[in-house]
Amino acid sequence: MNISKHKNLWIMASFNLDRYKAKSISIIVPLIMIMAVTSFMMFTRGGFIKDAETAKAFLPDITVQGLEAGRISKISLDLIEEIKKLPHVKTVVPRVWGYTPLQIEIGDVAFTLMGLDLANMIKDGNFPWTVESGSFFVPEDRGKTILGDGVAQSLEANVGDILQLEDTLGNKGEFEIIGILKNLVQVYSADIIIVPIQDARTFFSIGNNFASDLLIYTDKPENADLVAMMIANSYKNTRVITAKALTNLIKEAFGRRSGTFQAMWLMLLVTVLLLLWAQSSHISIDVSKEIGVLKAVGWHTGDIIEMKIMESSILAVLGTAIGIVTGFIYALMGTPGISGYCIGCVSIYPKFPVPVHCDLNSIILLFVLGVVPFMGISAFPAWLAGSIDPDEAIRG
Amino acid sequence: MFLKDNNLTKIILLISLFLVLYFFNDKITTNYKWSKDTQMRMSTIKAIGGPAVPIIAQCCNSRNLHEGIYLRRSDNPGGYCFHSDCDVTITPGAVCETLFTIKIRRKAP
Repeated sequence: MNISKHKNLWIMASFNLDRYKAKSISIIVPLIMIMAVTSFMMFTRGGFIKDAETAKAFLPDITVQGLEAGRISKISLDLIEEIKKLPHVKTVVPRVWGYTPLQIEIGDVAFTLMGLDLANMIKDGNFPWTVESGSFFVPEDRGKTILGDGVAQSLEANVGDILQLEDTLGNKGEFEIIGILKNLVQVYSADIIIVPIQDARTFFSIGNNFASDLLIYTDKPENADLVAMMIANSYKNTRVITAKALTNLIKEAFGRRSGTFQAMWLMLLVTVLLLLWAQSSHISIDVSKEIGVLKAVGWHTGDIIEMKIMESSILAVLGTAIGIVTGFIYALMGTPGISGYCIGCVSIYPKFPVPVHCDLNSIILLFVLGVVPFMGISAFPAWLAGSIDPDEAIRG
Repeated sequence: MFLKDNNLTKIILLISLFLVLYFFNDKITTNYKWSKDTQMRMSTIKAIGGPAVPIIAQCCNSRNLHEGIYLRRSDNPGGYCFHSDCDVTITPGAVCETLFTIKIRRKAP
């Protein structure tokens, strides 16, 4: 196998692209743009999906909610002791939470007020670090709150301020702000107002014997489905959500937006392919003469076709690679300008770091999407150029 | 000569740049083992018992991840939320849902 021949054809193809710069640029620039759009969308979506998968290990194994006539309702704390008796159940933690619809300067919002059982909190050593300013609760705290960064910024609140809350449903409460969560955890806590569980009960007028849901931790995550099935079978009017189901919800919530960009990408790709077809299938007199001379000095039809396909592949690989890197950098920068749409958040939330993830599969897929259609569509024009009759071409 | 060719050098440089970005990103935003950002996000999820994802809606009826199938359903029976921003539909694969059944018991002849 004569490798040097193919190397020389590659070099010749590179020189050709250099000589016909305008034509090369008119093809490569749109290709870079479409690959950048595709890749930043894929990487941003990949980041959220990876995050959701990682989150599975940190979620409660099972969340149990109460149902009343088929609708979500409060759940009785009497169930805690009964659930604790089930095999494989390690601990059960109640949680009281709800939404606080409000009308503030920036518009209508619905912040999440989350009441945590401070005496039985399941947390790891990193949690105190997520508090940007101020401190975390101590179990005895009452009338105090820690705000998500989105809430704090919307209300221009600082540690030490008093949060007076009266929502449009008539619920009232007053809390001293003792901490604000970091910006980098905003993706899961932007609009949250954390308070002790008793304060949440008072705010939402939920009786002492009830909670919004029960978080169940099992001895091993593999036993979660079994325990979930036992709870669902044993207790009427309960809604049982496993960590797996919740993970799927997060993935779907963030994944859906990428569909719009996929449709946009498809339209752009077709446009670029048509452009490439138009550029390649029209052989100018100069190129025609050039091919005639090459054939006259001994080039075979196969060599011309190979060179032409190499020209397209260089453009495709280069355009795709630059597009992927551009998209990756744009995603790392937090997709400025369209982050709200990519992430699916409302405009009230300030910028926060977007998880970005790319793996080998995504890269291979992007190269296949960028290079294969280009190669396919350039085959016919390459054959057309290769089959030129040298005598006819040189004579014009 | 082959290696000195401009286009091949460009492609190799781009791949190298990409690898640098990949490892940087892995360390900063993605990998739980290395990324402080991820560790803190997960710590938040663990402490509050689930993600309080700020997806889109300003409307209480449409934004509750835990409620899954109730998303987009307003307080009116059979109705759907008409909030212009509520366009996320989610159907969870919660365990209990597989237990709900509906059957017809035929009248004895």
